[in-house]
Parts: sequence; C-alpha cells; structure tokens
Amino acid sequence: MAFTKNIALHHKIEADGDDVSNAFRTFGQPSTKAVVDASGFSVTGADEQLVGAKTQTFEGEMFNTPESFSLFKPLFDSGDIFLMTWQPEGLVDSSREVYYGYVQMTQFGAAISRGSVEVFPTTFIAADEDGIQTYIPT
Amino acid sequence: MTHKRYLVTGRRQYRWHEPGTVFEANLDPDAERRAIERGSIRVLEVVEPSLESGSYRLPEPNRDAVSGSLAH
Repeated sequence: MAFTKNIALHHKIEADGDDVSNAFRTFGQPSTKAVVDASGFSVTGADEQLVGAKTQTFEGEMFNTPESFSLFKPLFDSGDIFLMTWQPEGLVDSSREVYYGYVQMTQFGAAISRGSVEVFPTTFIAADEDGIQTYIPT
Repeated sequence: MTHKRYLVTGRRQYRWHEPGTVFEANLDPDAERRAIERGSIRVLEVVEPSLESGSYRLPEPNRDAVSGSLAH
C-alpha cells in the first residue's frame, strides 16, 4: 500500500479566528493517554495496564514578532478560551482533515539566541470536555 | 436570529475570509470583542431579520380537517 507523503510547507493554523500560519515554523497536535497500572499478583509477574485519561494539546514553535505578541500575549495573560484549528497542507488543499478545539494557552515567552531567528515554544491545552477533535471538510 | 456583517480589517485572514472582504456571522461575543480590539475585524451592520408588512400571508385553514374533527 502506498502512502501519500509530502514536505510540510503549507499548513494552515488559525487562532481565535486569525490566520497565524506564518507565525509558526513547527506545529502539531500530540495526544497522549495515561497508562494506569492495574497489576495484581500473578505467576508471570507481568504488569497489567489500562489506558486512562487522554491529554491533548496543540504545540509549536512561534516566531517572536510584534504581530504574534499582540495576538497571543493577551490570550496568554487573560487565560481566555479560544478556538484553534490546524489543517495540514490547508493553505493549498482545503479538503484535508481539520483539527479543532477550544484551548487555553499555557506556554508563551520569548527565549532567543544571538544570531538565530527568534522563536520560542508554545503550548495550547484543550479547555473543554470536547477536547481536540477532527473533521474532514465535505 | 440577529447576526452581524463584518469587514476584515487586519492583514491576515479572519475565519477564512480574506483581508478587505465582508462576511456575515453570529460570532461568540468574547471572540468578537478580542478580534475587534486587535484590529482583525470591524462591525459594519447589525442584521435583524424581519418580515415587512404585506410581504407575507397566513396559511389557509384546512377546512376538511376541521369539519372531520367536528364530526367525531
């Protein structure tokens, strides 16, 4: 089976309605599920584990610019909940899947290196029970 | 339902609408406030759908159904 692979160049990212695609150079939507130990005594001694709660975030490296500061700093300071969307290759292919969810910003802040482009890590956590969901545009 | 007509005033797309374009939506009040404060959009008009006098007519009563129910 063939898999359609591509170089990541055209991802579309929106925060609170604004197109912020060009403010990021890396982006993703990691999801993790807690692994809960449910082991009892047994002959084998093997662990028995259950999958628990799901943690979802949007994460990425944001350029340190006046524009990103004016948009994201107020959202970070206020703790406002806002809609965030990510569509892989969405700038050139509107049919691709969309990740979306209401989030709060938990990591923001410039940390720069002399002679390097100014970027810093950002994190957005899912803020309601719906989490970060996906849909495919029709 | 009341909604509003907005102009995208910033230099970036707003909810898939290009800068300089007009769109109609019923935005969340907090999201609208933040977008206006940072200069992404501007409210052009509050749209309140209404029926103008004489532009509508009430439906005719179903006389068969009424007479049938009276017969029972």
